Amino acid sequence: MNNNKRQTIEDAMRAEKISLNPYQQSQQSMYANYYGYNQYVPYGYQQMMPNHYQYNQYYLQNYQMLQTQQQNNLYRNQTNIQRPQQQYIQQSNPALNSQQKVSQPLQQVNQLQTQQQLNIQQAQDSQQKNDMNNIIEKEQNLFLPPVDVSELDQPSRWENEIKIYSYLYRKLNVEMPNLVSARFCNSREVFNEQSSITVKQYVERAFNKCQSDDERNLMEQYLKATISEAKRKNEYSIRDWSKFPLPTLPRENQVRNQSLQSLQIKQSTAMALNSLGQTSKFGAPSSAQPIGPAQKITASTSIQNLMSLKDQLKQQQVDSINQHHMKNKKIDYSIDLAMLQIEKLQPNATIQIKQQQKQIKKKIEEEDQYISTNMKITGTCEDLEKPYYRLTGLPDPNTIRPEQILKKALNNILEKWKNYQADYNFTIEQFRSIRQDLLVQHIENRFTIQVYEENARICLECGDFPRYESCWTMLCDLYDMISISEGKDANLIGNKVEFDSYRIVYLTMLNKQDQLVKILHQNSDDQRIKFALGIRESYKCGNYVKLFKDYKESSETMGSIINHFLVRIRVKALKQIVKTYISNIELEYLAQLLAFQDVEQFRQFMQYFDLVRFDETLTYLLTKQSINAFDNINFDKLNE
Amino acid sequence: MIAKKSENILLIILRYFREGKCLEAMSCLKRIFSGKEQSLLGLDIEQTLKQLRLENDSEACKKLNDNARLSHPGWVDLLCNLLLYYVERERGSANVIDHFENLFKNTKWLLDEQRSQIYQFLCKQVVTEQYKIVQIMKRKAKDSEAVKRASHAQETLESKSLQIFQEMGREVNIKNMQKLKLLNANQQMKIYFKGFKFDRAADCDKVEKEQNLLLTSPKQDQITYHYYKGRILIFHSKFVDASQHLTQVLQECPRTQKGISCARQVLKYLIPINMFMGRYPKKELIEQFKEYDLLCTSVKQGNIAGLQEAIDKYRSIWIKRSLLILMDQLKVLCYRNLCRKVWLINQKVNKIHLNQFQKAFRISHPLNSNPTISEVCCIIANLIYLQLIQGQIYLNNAKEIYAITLSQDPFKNRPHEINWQN
Repeated sequence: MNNNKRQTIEDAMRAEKISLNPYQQSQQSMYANYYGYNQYVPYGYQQMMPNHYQYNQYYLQNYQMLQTQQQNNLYRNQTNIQRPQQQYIQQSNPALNSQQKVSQPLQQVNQLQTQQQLNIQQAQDSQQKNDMNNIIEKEQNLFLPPVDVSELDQPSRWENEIKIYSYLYRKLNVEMPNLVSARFCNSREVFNEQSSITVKQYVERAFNKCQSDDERNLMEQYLKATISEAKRKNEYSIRDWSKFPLPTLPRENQVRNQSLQSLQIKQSTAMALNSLGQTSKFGAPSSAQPIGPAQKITASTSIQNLMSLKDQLKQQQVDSINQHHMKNKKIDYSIDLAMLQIEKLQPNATIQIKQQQKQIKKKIEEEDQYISTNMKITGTCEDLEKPYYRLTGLPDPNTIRPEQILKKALNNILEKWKNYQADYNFTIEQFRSIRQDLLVQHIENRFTIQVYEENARICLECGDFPRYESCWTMLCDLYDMISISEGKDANLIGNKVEFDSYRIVYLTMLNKQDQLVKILHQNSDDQRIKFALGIRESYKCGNYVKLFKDYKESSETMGSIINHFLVRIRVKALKQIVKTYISNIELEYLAQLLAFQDVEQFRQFMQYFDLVRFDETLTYLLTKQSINAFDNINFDKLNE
Repeated sequence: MIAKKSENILLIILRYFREGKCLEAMSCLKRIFSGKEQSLLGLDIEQTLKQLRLENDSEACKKLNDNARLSHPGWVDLLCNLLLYYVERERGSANVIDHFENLFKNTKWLLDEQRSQIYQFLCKQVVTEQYKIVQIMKRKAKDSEAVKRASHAQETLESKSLQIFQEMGREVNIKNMQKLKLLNANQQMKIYFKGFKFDRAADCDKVEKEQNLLLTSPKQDQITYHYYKGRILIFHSKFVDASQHLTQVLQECPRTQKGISCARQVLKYLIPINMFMGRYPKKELIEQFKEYDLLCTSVKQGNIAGLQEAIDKYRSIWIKRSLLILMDQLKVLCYRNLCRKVWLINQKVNKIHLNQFQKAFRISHPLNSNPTISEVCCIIANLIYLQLIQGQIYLNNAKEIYAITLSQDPFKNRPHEINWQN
């Protein structure tokens, strides 16, 4: 009797578990249940059911399945092994007691069996029991849905979905619906329980259009305004949201004018996604107002929607369990109505959906091909010189040069530059187009460094410091990246030390201490760095003679950097001289000191700036008269 | 048994939290995770985290946690954040900063006092953790991708921690937590210093705006403030102020082991700076800092060759302490001392031929064997221009150059009083 009790409790537990399952409420089972309950299942059978199953009539089919499968199991076992199975039946199924009585005489006839055999039998029995238990457990598991309700709470469950969705969105070039939109969708202020799903759909569409967080914030404001307006006019529940125009973003006005390729693709895919979401949800977006399980299977575009649906589902389950099904008829009826409507619509809708899905699949495939080819883009253009255009769309392989051609192009330009065949603007344009081609093809190797170094060198030689700065930031990144990927010290890559030494001089002239300290931290002993530091020292100590000596000895690029700041250095030196000397100074001596080629050049220089006074014959500098000439000069602004 | 014990400790920590003793609770956690207390060893942190965040399925656990949440409202979230932070730290991932951010955001409902305690914890932890984690990541990294990630992580950590500090600073200003203002500013300065952004660090200085701030904040914050302020002033060549700030650190350092190491750190910068004030270190001090030995003596004597040797010999040290750019100014100081010696040898005459200086430079720097008259002239002109020497240069018709002194004591201007920025 104890056994019996336990069984009933266990059965009740099992039944409850099944009733808790959300996935049992799937579309088909519901549908079958409704009609099956009325038409095909005899009511007499229902009365035969044990009491503890009775409130669970929705899962009648399951019960049937359970019964049949158990029976099948029993039969199978009986056919395979006869005796132990009988014993098992004796223990497990009290309903079959009559059979047991019939089989007992048979056992008595077979009393000749040895004890050993009996032992074996017992062992087999226990094994069989275990097997049976296992099988039953497995069967129970079969009835359970693939996912438990409690499992839904755990993040791991959603991670996979999020991964899949993010992959999809990425493939389609559409941004994931962001937290902003999610927050808006879930806010109670905007949506109450009465609000139909079409509004949510509308909001979702609106947010899908947005591309950045700022736009999403804007959109939120727009939507709040429109919804509150609708509420004020009492049109909230009446208005056809599916046809109501979406608010326009400031960006869209620009986009129309620009007609960018990539953006068009993005929008088209976004629209396609939307249409997919709508149609697969409800067949026709405006007609149905489905409440209940129909939502569950929908391929809704946002994960957040799924999350909210989950809550709804839970509530429904709780309702369906708590209330008796007879009292619950109204709700059931409405659900079934919705199902019916879908059923009616389906012949048309399914065809439409299939067509659309096919189209979308094709699109996705095309885009996949497009993207995959774009990612591995290798140009086919073979022009050595190519004008630079700012990219406005996706790159075209026909206009992009591969690395080999780029190497030739670089050599070509450098030769032209050295032979004075090309002017500065032309070479810089060529460099820009080379850099663009490298960027588009994702080439980041020593050749890239070479291109940037040559570019930086030419910029330095011509005193184009803004461009040099941009090249320098790129070079810093490249040095780091390649030193890591090749596993070498960063100082050994390219001409890093050389460019560091240029940087030191450049920074001392601009008097930027902090960046200088950073560069010094990276470098230890090197002749070029020491040379640069020597220049710095003589500049700081006012040893202009040594500075000009170094200037004459320095390499071409270094010389051109100093050349650019030469005016500043000379004026500073002159100020120092004027302030410290009493006597008038001969111009010849000064020209020699300040590294002018001859006196005439110095005279021109001085007259150009018109700072100091000379005597009438232009041979002497009058120190006393020109002592205050330098008071109002800002040395930081003295460039050329 | 072990698990039970550790659960008990968690409860103790929770109780600390509930009683508002945030600092004690956090120090307890810290002790546990630094390995000083063995009681949490048997505990599966991830499991407990699941329990605390109600991710565990079992009903008993849910009930227990509901009770805990009722009795310790909000504190459980804080504890979760802390535990998560420790878990991430042991993994050595850069997500640590996110948990700090959460911790910071979760404290808005607390009382001011409790809040300030948590802020204090955050201030100290954020900066120190940041560099430790990058180090761990780099140590663990085997392929180039990982190294790249580590270096990227450093940037993000830096920017994010600065963001946290700025937000915290705003909160602190609103609530007027005097004790935290300076600490917050100091930590920002620290981050900027590590990234070699000295200009930005100078902007964080709040003491200039609020006079009382220095007096009202705790002493250790005062000391760190003085240290960073002094170091910033070195970069601006304002040696008097820098020396004042740094000596204050030296005076106020506690005589503990930590305090002594702090004093050593300060002395590394104070010794070269005090040379500009005419204060040279004593023998006992030099014995502890041997790299300064040659430097100090050669500057004092006007020995240019010795100075150059000292610079080259310990170049890596100067670079490490970012003092290499100070060496140019030390060289000027060395020139000045040399010229003073020439003037003393000439019995303080007020008109000295430049040949004499040329000879002196030749002796002082034998490697640069032939400094031309014009070079020497330039150096002396610079000294006069900087007003290290009160004098002028006279050039007569025979192209003989003389240095003329203007006053009885032309070297009376101390090197620290002049304007180095010219």
